[in-house]
Amino acid sequence: MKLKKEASAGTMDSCDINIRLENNPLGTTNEIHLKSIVEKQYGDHIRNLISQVIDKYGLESVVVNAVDRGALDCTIKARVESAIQRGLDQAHTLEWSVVHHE
Amino acid sequence: MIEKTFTKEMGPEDFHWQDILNLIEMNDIKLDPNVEHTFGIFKEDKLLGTASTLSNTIRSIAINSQEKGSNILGELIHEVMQFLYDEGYSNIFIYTKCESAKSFEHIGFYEIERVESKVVLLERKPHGIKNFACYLKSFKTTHDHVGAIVMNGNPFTLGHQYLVEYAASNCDFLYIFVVDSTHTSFPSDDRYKLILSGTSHLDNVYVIKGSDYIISDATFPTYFLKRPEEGTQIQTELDLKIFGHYFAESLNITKRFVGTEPYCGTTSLYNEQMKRILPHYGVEIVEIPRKVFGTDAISASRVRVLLAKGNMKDVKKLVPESTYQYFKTVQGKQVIEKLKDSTSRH
Repeated sequence: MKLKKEASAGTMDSCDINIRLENNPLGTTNEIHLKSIVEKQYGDHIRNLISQVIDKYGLESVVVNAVDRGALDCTIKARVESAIQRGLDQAHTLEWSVVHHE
Repeated sequence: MIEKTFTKEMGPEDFHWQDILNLIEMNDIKLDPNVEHTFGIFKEDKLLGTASTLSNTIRSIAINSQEKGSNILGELIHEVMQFLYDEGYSNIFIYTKCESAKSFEHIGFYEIERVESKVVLLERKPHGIKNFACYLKSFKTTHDHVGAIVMNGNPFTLGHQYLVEYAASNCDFLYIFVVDSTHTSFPSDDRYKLILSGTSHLDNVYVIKGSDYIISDATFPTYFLKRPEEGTQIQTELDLKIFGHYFAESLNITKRFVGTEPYCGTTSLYNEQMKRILPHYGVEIVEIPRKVFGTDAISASRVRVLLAKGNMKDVKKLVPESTYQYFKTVQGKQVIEKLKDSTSRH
């Protein structure tokens, strides 16, 4: 599946993460570009989390520009998920009762 | 308790406008005179930072020195980006001093090009310029001598056509990059189409839309001003380095053709800079004297003056048939009506 449009979620405030999604104009691979104040400790962990949410939606060839300010895992997942919903034009049709968080 | 900050758009009528100007001055920069929107970030009524925009570029950014090390820059830029994304832009550029580049890389911007110890241009799309270079490579030819013209064509005249014909006969293959700006009298798409139809008789010419990376509000905002001003020199250098580094390299361009520029100070400065910078990228500059009709050179500005006066008889002598036919369309007529009301240059 591909995004219908570019989309963002989250802020650059402390304890949050800002996500910007767009389709990858070249190739079919997903790219994650992360800037984080805790890159050394959690960089790979954050990239994994983002990648998991993208895979859950079956998105292909998406570019993620993420700016992390020390967000918790739940925040990261929620921000990525919101951005995807917006990018798929589903932000207002989301059925919250079936949103599943493992 | 943490006091919440807020960001708002500012204008000269605002109580805090002088604070904005002072803050910018304290950071040893100036408020770019071409900006369209200026924002301030406040805590209660104290100004902590400011940033301005011109199309999809953010510039004249200044943060209160007491806030250095805080996250004010991130909060402010996030708000401004949100504004620009809502305006419909998909990429965002930042124009800043070299020593500040790192701060913007930390908030998800990527460097395109810099003029050492002067300015850096960054963009929000990771690999934006590299992807554009790949896109350009899809038009690459196998010819030996490849030339290029960067053209505004506002609108396309017999002068432009002469330049293109001359260039096309002096290289094996010619690319024309059309300046993609909204500051021109004729809309970008129309200018592109007029160049296409005005060059359709030449089979070694390919016309490409110029994108944000050549003579745009990001690379060279003062191109659209008649007089060169402080900063124009640096902008031209930035624009030409990007051309050399990405355009010329991707398409193996070895010649860039330009018309001589007797009237416009900004363009003649650009031409001078071209001769200085582009040879470093293996690009030779070929300056071609302009085609003359009557006693004066044919130029787009001359055509616009005639259009504004409603003198279609003389206009017909200066433009190809395809451009002339366009003036009769609904869209062409709309632009002519606007020209009659304004006196802008490009």
